[in-house]
Amino acid sequence: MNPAEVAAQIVALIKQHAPGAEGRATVTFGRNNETRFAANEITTAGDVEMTRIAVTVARGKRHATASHTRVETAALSDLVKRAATMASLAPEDPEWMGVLGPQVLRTPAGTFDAATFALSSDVRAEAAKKVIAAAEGKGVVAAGFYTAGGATSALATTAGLVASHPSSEASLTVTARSPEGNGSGWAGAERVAASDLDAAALATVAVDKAVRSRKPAAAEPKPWKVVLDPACVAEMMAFFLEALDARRADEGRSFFSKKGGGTRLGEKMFASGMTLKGDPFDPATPASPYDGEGLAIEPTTFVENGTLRSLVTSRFWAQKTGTQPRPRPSALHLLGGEAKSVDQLIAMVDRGLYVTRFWYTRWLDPQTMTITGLTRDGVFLIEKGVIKGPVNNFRFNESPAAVLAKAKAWTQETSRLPARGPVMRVPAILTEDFHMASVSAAV
Amino acid sequence: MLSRRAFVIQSSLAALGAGCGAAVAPPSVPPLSPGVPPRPPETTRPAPEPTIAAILGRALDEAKRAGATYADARMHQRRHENIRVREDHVTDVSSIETYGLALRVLAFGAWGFASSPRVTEADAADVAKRAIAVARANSGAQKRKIELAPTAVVTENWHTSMSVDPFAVPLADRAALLLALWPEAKKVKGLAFLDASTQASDEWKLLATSEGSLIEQRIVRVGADYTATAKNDKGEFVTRAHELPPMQAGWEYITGASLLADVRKIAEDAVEKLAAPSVTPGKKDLILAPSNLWLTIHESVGHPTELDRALGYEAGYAGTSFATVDKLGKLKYASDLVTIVADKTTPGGLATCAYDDEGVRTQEWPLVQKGLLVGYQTTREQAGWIGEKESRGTAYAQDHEAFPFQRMPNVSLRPGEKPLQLGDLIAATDDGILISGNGSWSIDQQRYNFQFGGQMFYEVKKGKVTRALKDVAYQANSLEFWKSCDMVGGKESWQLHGSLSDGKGEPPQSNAVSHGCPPARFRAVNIINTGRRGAA
Repeated sequence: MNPAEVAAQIVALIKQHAPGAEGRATVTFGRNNETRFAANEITTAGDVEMTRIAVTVARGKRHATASHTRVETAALSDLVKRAATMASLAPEDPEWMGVLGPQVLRTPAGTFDAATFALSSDVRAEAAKKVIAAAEGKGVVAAGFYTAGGATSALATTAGLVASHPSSEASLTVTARSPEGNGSGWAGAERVAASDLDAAALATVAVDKAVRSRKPAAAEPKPWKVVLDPACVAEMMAFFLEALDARRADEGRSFFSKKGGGTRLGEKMFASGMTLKGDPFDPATPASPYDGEGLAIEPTTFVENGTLRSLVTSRFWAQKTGTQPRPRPSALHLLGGEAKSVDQLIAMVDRGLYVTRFWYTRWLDPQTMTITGLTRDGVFLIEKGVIKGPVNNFRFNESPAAVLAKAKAWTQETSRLPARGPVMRVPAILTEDFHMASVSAAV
Repeated sequence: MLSRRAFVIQSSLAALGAGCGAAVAPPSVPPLSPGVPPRPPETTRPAPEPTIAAILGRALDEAKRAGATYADARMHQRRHENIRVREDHVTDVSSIETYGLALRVLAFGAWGFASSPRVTEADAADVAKRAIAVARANSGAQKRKIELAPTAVVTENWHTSMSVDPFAVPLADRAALLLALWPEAKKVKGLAFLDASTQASDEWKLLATSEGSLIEQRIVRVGADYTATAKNDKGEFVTRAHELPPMQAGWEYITGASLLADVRKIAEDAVEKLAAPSVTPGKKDLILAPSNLWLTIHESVGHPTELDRALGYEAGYAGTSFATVDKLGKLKYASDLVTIVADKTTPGGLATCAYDDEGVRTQEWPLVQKGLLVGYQTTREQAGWIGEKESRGTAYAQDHEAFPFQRMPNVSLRPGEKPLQLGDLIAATDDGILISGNGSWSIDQQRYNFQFGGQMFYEVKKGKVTRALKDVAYQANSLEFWKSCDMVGGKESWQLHGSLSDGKGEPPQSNAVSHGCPPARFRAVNIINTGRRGAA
């Protein structure tokens, strides 16, 4: 049986075992094939077959969700009964909105590649060997991770909603370090099709950064003009997305709360030209056309030419505030700007830093959207428009919102990076007053 | 009860150990926890006993036939039941279960791994075929020969000591415990929100190795927490979280805790913190309560002493370590007052069990002895990397989809010899800050530079707590920080804290781990103000 058939079977089981209740089934069958390498050798690898079966049952406003990994009919019955029992025990949830009925769902093109789903261990091992050879050729040490796989997910409800979405993903990340531990570089990419991953090119970028970042000079912690590589921007945008929530804004808990109540929708908050979209049908960011409840994800402009236009709004919050529900995006695209390349951004800087990667980012203060984190895998001093050489790493305390507000220029090209959460494409950004708080001795 | 005899007879396990070091005779092990043998719950028991034995045996036999010199097969079931409430209503009730078959093989000099959500003999054979294919693809790309340190062959079972199985407590009762909080909390003026949750997890696994070990374990963990949010008319808000540590225990641990008794105080703390002055940055003496210090131990001692990390095997993701192996026995890590031990044996510890996921008996050993770096966390593959004869027993795989690798055991700061309490540390401090609970944290990939927040911050002047502060974080270099430790609380002030989820590896795996410590004082630590950046 395929996931859609299993989901339909579960809906029938809900009707059988919990007559009168409403329910939702989410069924995912997939594969994850992975190869890890480090110290210039392949270390661990795996061929993992996955299933996830989740059942939500609701009686009135009492609801509960149970999930497991077993597809046999008896196990599906058990799961439905468990969810039904849990729901009857659960106290009422005044915010429960019921399961969704049929949705008008369009199908995004290009979300699944069969060859990537079935990619063999040999292909991954060959890519890893290629990266290792490139690293050894330059006398550095490579570590990395190649993962390829995919899944078909299906969703069905007792109210007649049926949805299904196939996806595949291949990603390769490479960290290269000098044997002395005084230089480090990183490169990574994520694609729908493994054939679009260029292991040699990624190896070249990471190895080159490792070689060029050796023996960093001292640079002081202070507000700097910085060129942020897409890897840094993608990491920050995950926090930005978390803050883009209507309820938190209305409740006064977020950066998008207006002083005295309400939200900052319609306010020009970011640099002119800055536009953030969430569009699963954009060929640049193919992604799921519905969210976890089965709600259709329509193309959304969150920030338009610097102005805040939309906030993520749950069904409950939309009903309470008399607005339209707006699901969390499955794809985010911070649109490209005018600069032809990262080098052109660097050429615009009289004195500043080129920062290639962030690490261990964490919230500090949601009301100012301030996060903390560290730089990693290569920071370079820029003087009079050219890179002078590597400098030390920093801890930073900074707001992604401030970065977008103070952005001076960004690249035309946007990159898709391995990211948790939505598919994400972002440009490199030149921004000002980026607050480096202290020096980090780590390389 | 699983029939071990049937299992061992059915499979030609013992002959498969060639090439990985001779199995040694079992040591005399201390008695395991008494009580009923661990079992997966009746409703979810996947198959009759002879079938289970046949499946694991089939996986190992097929692996051997295809060229494995070592293999371990694992049936692994995980259950999680979580309840979330917000103020006066339940927002989420969830039950998550995973169950499947995992097989790791060492073949052609390389590791291979495969897993399946279906647990049948046919799937066992298929998993073996796939794991061998992975090993074959990786063969020849190894720089060092993979050799496993010897370990005893055992047949054993073990389970969490508990009196009330949390999964047997009705969900409504568990939710009621959380819903009782808001009526008390809302009596506090200025309190806006209260988010609360409980977690229960049940990990059952049956490990069979090609050397002949067969180990069944059930580990139950519980937690409960809540966060009070205070808000003022200027639209500013702060949160204050309760500090009940998650524990390997039954539900009696949650009902015995003072969640309800504390809620007024927690709500009042939130309101007090909101009105508190913002900290003035600078160097101050820092007194850390156990509820804050445990996470600092985790990040600045636990992770740096993972041997794979120290040798560059985690460079691609989590990072490397300043505590490189050339410094073993030489690096002055901390002041002489500081002794930090690793263990998977502390009662209640989230990482505590009898055997690790390669069948190695768990133990306790020092990482930092009187300030000196003296140990690392190892697995069977890694022990030889630093010339040790046996594994420290720290291999762990989060579920059946996961490859077992080196994961952090409980890592704890030993209490000092003097019977000092938190109050004694405060009384001895002229100008300092006291921090309890965990806030934001972040540390670099070599574990040099860290920044930690907290839940509550108090100014200490002339030996007394004077007032609450806010926007506080401390920033330090790991070694400078630990060397500045000049007071450590005594045995009576030692507490066990921990986390149900610590990530490592690619794909990332989650591990539960505890850290015990007394309060301690650190001199002249850099305090920063976290509230002054970011306005767009």
